[in-house]
Amino acid sequence: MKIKIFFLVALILSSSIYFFPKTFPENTSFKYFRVDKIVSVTGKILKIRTEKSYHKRIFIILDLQEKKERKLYKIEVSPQWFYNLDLIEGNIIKVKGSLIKSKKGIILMAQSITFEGEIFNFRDRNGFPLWRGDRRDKGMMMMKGERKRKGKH
Amino acid sequence: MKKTTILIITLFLSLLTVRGEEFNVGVELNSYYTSNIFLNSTAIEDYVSVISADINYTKDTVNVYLDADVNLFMENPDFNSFSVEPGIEYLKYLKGRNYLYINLGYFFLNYSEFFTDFNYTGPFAQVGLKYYLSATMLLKTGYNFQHRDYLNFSSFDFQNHTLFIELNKFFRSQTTIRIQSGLNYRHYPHVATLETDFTGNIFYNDEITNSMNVPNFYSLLRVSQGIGTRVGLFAEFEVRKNFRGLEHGETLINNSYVIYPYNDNYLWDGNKFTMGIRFIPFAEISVTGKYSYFQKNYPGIMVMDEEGVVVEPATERNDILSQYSFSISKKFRNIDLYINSVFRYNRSEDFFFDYNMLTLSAGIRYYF
Repeated sequence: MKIKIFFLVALILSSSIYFFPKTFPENTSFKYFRVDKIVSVTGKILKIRTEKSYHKRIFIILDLQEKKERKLYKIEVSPQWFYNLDLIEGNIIKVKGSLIKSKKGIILMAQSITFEGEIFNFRDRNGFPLWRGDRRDKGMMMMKGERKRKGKH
Repeated sequence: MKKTTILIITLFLSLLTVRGEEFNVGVELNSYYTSNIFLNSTAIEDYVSVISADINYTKDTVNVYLDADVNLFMENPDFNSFSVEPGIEYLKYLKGRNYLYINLGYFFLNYSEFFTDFNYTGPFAQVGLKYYLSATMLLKTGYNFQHRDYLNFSSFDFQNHTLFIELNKFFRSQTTIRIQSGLNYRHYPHVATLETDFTGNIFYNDEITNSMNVPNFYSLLRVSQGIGTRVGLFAEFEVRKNFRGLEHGETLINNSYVIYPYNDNYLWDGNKFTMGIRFIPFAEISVTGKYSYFQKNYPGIMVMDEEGVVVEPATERNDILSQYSFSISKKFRNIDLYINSVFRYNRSEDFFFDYNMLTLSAGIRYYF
């Protein structure tokens, strides 16, 4: 009985976290991400490269050619450490992200990438970068890691 | 146990209020029903809740973390446990998308009173290298080390070394071929000898111990194929070979039937075949279906009767396991919801391990 009560209390406490107000740190890239400009683009990866971006971080950039109209998009994915996809040039992917048109071309700040039946998220619904959040599933657990599962026989 | 659990949760919830830009936390709650918690013919069912939390402090390429898990069994509270893992991760960028990864940590696992023989602590280390040999060829290699110190039953103590190498070849047709091979070396430094006293009772003599080594080799071939962006198919064949098993390891075998080593990857050899599909039918809902077929041989572990006596003529335990799993997940804002089901159908020459198991689980994962 006691364990049931304890479990119930733990459950309520855990669930209550969802209702906590969330504060965003300042000077992060999320403010450039506009939720009213979210589009989905399916296309072929022409090139995978890195580029120094926000706060001199090394970002993964995909040059994508859209499937139908063959428009070129520059996809800003995430910092290098967070990126955990084994993509190659020529892969067909679907990118959902915030569209920015500039003189340099069309930029898409990736919110998620869909590839071979899997969705890889990089930003939350509001455009907040997940690399500033939990690392449980992605980021540094990219080798044999998966900290969560190991050693618990 | 309960006090410690409450303390961990309270501490964790308190830390939520002081998080900053480089300080973040994650919470996961997973509940599941299983028809067979011990994966044997006793078929003891239970409802289990797992509360997981992690705290990370990240600065540049270094991440310092503290993970904590609590496992709560509704019908079998003796099996409740909690674990804590502090550690540090480091990434060293190399040219291009290549990097070196290092993870050092320490693990503590504590069961309730009845299972305290299985409590352990110990350090572990992982070093991994991800290196693109060409635009379509990826090499992953690494070394894992683990040491376990079983404070209440030192015969279980071991060190495990694993070396692995993996090659991935990507094709424009969205086909990926992966070959992975690894060597494991497990060393039990002091396994108590089994002796009989003058009344005929068997006892474990900690004064006279043996050391045991269990070297193991594995190799796997995986082929995956993408169909468009919403469908992925994969098939994998794995071979495991133990150069030596648990021969003369009765102290380990006799004491480990409940938890360990029933499902330890280093103590069986044989073949495993897996095939599966991942797809996104609509509305960014992810669905995965998987089937695995195992032929497992347990070197050095003999078939026993219900009394735990080796059945003559002595033969090693052989299992055929079929496993079906299905999962569906959906992300809402910062919350992941998921439902998983697993069905295991294990046929064994050892009656005790002839079992079926059904697990249904649902979970919620929250990101800050």
